[in-house]
This record gives sequence, structure tokens and C-alpha cells, in this order.
Amino acid sequence: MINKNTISKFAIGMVSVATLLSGFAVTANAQTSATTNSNLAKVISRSDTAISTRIDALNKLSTRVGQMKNISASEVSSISTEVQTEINNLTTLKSKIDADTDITTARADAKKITNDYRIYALVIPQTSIIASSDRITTLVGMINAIQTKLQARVTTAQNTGKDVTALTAALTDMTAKLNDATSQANTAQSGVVSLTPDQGNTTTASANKAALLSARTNIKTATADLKAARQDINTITQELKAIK
Amino acid sequence: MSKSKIIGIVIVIIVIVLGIMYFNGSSKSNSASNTNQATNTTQTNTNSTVSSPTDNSDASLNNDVSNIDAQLNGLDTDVSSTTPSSDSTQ
Repeated sequence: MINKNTISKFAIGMVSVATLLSGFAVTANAQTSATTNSNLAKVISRSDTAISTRIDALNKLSTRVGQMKNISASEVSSISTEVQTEINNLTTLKSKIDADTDITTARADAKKITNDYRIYALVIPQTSIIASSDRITTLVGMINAIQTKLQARVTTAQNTGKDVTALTAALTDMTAKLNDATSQANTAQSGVVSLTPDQGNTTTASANKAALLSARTNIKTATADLKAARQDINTITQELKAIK
Repeated sequence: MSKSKIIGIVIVIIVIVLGIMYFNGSSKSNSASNTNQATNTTQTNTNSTVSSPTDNSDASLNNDVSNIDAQLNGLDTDVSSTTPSSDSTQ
């Protein structure tokens, strides 16, 4: 038989167990909340760093764009505006992430830093290719000018009966290299000028990357052409001294 | 000494003094002229070191080559930033 005393002991025991369990639950909830806050702070901190490094890189790029000489003023203005828009958008996104209060929203916003802007995957290489193309055009003009001067000296040497075979060959090579550099630079620029961020579309991302790599190859070929033309200048000046 | 002898000596002294004065003046004039010529030469030399766009002097060529080398270095810097990130999360 269960007496009153046993029932009261059982009741006290149950109350104690219930109190204990509720204590554990409160502690667990507090720990979960602390972990969530810690993770949120980490997402915000990582996002801030990622945005700051991108804005720094974009500011440097903006300075470089301002130095371009051969692209039309309207194109320079268009590229500068595009870079500045990226900076403004990233700054706005940073403010939003800093104000996020739940981890899910913060993570979604953090993903936008890469998916929506593609600073390292597209904007910086794209603008650097356009800037390289611009500088190649500048260099072609400079080397053309010196080529005219060297041609005059070669003609003078030829008129005084000197053998200018090697000199003429170097001048011809210089012309070919300058023509190829111009062609490669134009191809590079036209291949990337209209690319836009992929917004997470893998097909567009692959196409953008392929276009950038192809344009980079064009720029590297043009650079090699210009260095070869520079070597031709050395060859001609040394040969002119030798046959004096 | 007679009066005519004294007059003769005075005339000779005047001629000698005038001669000395003329010689000094001529010398100064030549000196100034030489100085001017030297100045002009300096100016000519200074002018010859300024290169025009069509200048085909050695100095001008060397200057052109230096500018080309500086631009080639800048191009290397530009090219180093043309690689798209291989990380798909960039």
C-alpha cells in the first residue's frame, strides 16, 4: 500500500527534478544565444575586412583610370563612374551588415560581397586590362617617334655609303612588333570592356573568366612585342655607333 | 729754356696722355666685346641642350629611351593586376 508519506516524498522528488531540468534549459538557451551573437560578430568582422580591402583596391584602380591617356574622355568617365559605383555600393553594404542583428541575414549579406560585385574576379582584372591596353597605345606612340629619329640616322649612314642591312632589318622588325602590339591591345580591350558581374550565374562566371584570361594573353603578347621593339632600339643605336 | 721749347714739351705730354687714354678705351671695349661674345656662346650652348619634339640629338634619344623604359615598368605593374581570381568566391 502507498501511504501519504510516500506520495509526498515522491511529489517533492518530482518538483526537484523539474526545477533542475528547467535550470539546465535556461543555461542551454543562454549558451546558444551567446554562441549566435559570437558568430554574428565574426560574420560582421570578416565582412568589414573583405569590404575594406576591396574598397582600397578600387581606390587604387580609380587613380590608375584617371591616368589613362589614349582612351576617350567619355570612356574614362564611364569606367571611373563604374568603379566609384562599386565603392559606393560596397560602402552601403558594409553599413547594412554592421546593422544586421540576426546571423541568417548577415550571412546572406556577406555573400553579396562576392556574388554581386566580383571585385577580384572581374572588376580589377577587367579595368587593369583596359589600363594596360591604354599604356600599350602610349608606348607604341613613343616608340614610333624614336623609330622616326633612328630611321633618319640610318638614312644618313646609308647615304654616306655605310652598310645598313642590319639596321634596316631591326627597323622592319620594330614596325612589325608595334603593329602586332596595337592589334593585341585592341583585341584585349574589346574583349573585356562589356563584361558584367555574374550575380552567381556559373555560365556567365565561366564566360567572364575565359574572356579575361584571353585578354590577359593578348596583353602579355603585346608587352613582349614592345620589349622586343625596345631591344631593336638598342641594336640600332649600337650598330650606328659601330659603323660611324 | 725758351718759351717755344716749353710749349713743345707740353704738346708732346698732351699727345702721350691722349694716346694712353685712347689705348685704354680700346682695350676696355675689346674686353667688353669678348665678354659679350663669351656670354652669347654660353647662351648658345645652353639652348642647344633643350630638345624639341623633332630633336635627333643623342641627349634627346637617351631621354626618349628613359621615358619608354619607365612606361614599360608601369606596364609590368598593370599586367600583374590582370589575372582574374581563381577563387570562385571572389
